[in-house]
Amino acid sequence: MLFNSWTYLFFLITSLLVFFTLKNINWRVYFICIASVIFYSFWRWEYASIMMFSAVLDFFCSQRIQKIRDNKTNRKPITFLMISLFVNLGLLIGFKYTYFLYDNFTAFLEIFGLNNIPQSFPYSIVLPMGISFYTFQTISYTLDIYRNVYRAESNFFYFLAYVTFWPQLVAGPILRADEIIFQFRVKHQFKIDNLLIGGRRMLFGFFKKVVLADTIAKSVDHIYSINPNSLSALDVLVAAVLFGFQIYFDFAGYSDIAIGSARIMGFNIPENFNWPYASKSPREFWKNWHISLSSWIRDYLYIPLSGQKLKISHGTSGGLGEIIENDHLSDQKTKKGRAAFALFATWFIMGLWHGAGWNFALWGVYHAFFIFLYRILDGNKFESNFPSLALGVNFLICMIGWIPFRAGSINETIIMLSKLCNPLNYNPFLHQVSFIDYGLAAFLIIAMIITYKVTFVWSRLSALQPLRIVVYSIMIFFVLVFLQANDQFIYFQF
Amino acid sequence: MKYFTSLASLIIGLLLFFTANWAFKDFNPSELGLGLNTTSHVAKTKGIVKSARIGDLDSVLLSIKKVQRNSPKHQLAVWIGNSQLHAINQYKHNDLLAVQYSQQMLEELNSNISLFQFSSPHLNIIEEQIYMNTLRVESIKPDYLILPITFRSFHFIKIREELKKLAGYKEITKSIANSRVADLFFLEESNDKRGKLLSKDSTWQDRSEEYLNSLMERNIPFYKYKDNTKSYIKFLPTLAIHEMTDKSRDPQVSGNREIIEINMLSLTEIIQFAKSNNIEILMYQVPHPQDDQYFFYNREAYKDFFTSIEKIASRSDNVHYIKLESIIPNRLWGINNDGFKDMYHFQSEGHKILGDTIAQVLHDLEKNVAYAF
Repeated sequence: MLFNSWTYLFFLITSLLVFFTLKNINWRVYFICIASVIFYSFWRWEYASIMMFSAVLDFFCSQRIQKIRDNKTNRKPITFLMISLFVNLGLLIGFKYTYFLYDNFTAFLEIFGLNNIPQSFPYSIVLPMGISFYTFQTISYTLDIYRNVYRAESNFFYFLAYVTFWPQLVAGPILRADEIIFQFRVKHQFKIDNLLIGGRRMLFGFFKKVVLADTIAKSVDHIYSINPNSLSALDVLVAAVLFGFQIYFDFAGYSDIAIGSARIMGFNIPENFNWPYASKSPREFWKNWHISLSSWIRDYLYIPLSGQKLKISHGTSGGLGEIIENDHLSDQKTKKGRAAFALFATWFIMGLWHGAGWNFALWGVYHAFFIFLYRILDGNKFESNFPSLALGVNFLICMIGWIPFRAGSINETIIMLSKLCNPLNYNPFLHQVSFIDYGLAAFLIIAMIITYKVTFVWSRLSALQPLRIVVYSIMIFFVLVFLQANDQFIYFQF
Repeated sequence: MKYFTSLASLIIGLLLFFTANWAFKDFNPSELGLGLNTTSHVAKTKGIVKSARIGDLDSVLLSIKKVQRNSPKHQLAVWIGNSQLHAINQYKHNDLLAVQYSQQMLEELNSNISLFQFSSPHLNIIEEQIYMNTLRVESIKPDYLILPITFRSFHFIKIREELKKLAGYKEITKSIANSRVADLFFLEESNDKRGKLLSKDSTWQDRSEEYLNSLMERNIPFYKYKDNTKSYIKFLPTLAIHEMTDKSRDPQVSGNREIIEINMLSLTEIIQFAKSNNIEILMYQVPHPQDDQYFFYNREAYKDFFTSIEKIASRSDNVHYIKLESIIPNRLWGINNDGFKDMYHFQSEGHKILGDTIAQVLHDLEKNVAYAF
């Protein structure tokens, strides 16, 4: 179900009424499971079975692992961990990467003159919505049980509620079991304060999505529909900046609605964004962008790849930023080498997680490259001595990084990036993109700087009740005008 | 008092929403050329005009085949172009499109020519070449091809998704295999979109959303004018620029030599194809308002461009090139109450001028009379 729809608002109100009417905690958990499956089925009901299968299997595996640990038998818990990983990653690879693997395989065979096999995969595969998110959630659960981070949940429905909890089901934040399951055991009372805080958060989310992201999307779609050969360097930058803001408003808007919806019910979901474009370095960016994924990657990919042992999980906070900052401090060459390998491998995989295409992998490696560059050039000094310049440089790095992410192919990416390398392409008279789009990009940058730099002014102004009323009223007006279920959230496809 | 801010905001927000919907209930900027009335008019011409939706293509092809079958002596003229052909500004009841006026006039002149139109918004020459190949695959050989030449359309080479669906027809991909357009077409196709989510068609979400919207439209005053308010808000930046400069701008045509050359090549291929199939091409420079206030292209580039087109046309004896850039008076272009000017589409009277002109030239060609413009 799309958040940006009347259907969701109707669904939420109905669900809240039923949820708070139920007095028994267990019944509330059963209800969350049922409502979440209904929520998912509004997209395609048959695909809810894949999610259920993944949940059942992981519950079984985690139970077996826990039992082996408790009884201290000779059986090895790794068998069940492997089953869980094999099935979950199998589902993810099967649904998401089959075409990609097949295309690359046939291209590889063509090198040896084997052209007889069909050029495209002969069967049609539909990518189940949110599969990348819920499989990561179930994988993290089984891994944490295996690592003995916490005990396995013995009640299947509490586990199912954790996997399927609808506010975060299709696009995160990717939760850890110990962050949410204990909250299911609390009997939350309906509180007006929660309604207001959650409602306000949802309003901000709706505004970001239906007013800002969807409006910017029209310009972005138009610019990317122009042949990249004809774009000037400035056009490419405008395209990159506009898409950077579109994807931020789109995804942060989704997260706001998720966090707000859960808050009204009394649940706290961790933050997923924290002013990512106001970061002074790529490392800091990864502390503030898609924090839950970044933290997941840190705990289950980067730390093992860099040869470290996870001592304490920070859950979905902190992202990748902190750990990569400390990694280069080691004097040992081998450790440094392994850290660099882990860095590039992690971002390569994270890129592919976002989409089955080399352009996504390139996006990941691009970020790894800049993190590595900041590491070896000691970017910390640059950040502390020239904070404003560092912010500007990092903003540009992040925005240019979105080009492979949005471009249709590696070919288009290379064309667009090469435009930026030729000084002659910066001629302002060569532009193909309209002045309105240039103005929009400039407006967004200025608005971001103002809202970030003068937060203290806003905090004072927002204390003025009439001003708050004016701002909220205008936001409600815009959301009501622009609300329509036509535009999907970008992150749904991941 | 603690909850006053939220409650007041909600009430004021709702009031603003309904007041705006009421205020803009008659606002319909899309009636500039491609509004609801125009669209429904075009829909009624099914079988003669194909516009915008690929689904209409079949009905036009069937109509052509029917005419060919029933009246084998009839000559066939196909008019391929962009939205200028199917958009009517300030649409009034009984208004007609250029193609319809043309057909009327041809009948008055006792001509044997039957006219059909393929048009899509922003159609570029490469897409027109794909349309041509669609006719070829369907074994339809027109006697005349009417080709409007638009300065703007030669600055794009993208093939829209809608047309890419034609790639599903093996004959079409085969038919363009040796042309310049093939590189672009197949390159585009290799950008695989498989594995993405299925379209939301026929999901519970769609059905419930449709139901809830219609429920609110029926029961909540002014809710149904929500789209007008949205259109107004979206038009504001354009209107503001227009107000400030009193000049419309369309900077997306500053151009790239390479793109223009590819399109020129595509045009040459269309002409060669027409020649080898004994098709006469009537190529015309599209009408465009000439006043400074309306004219936003670089005049020099504009002039150079049409000089090149004229040269291409003069190289082939099956091409008849006419300049129609000034035939539509300023008053017949779209200008709405807000002063928003539409430089691409004209009113029905403009369609009549264009339609009659084309009909006259076609008739002259049919009678082998030398034409002069």
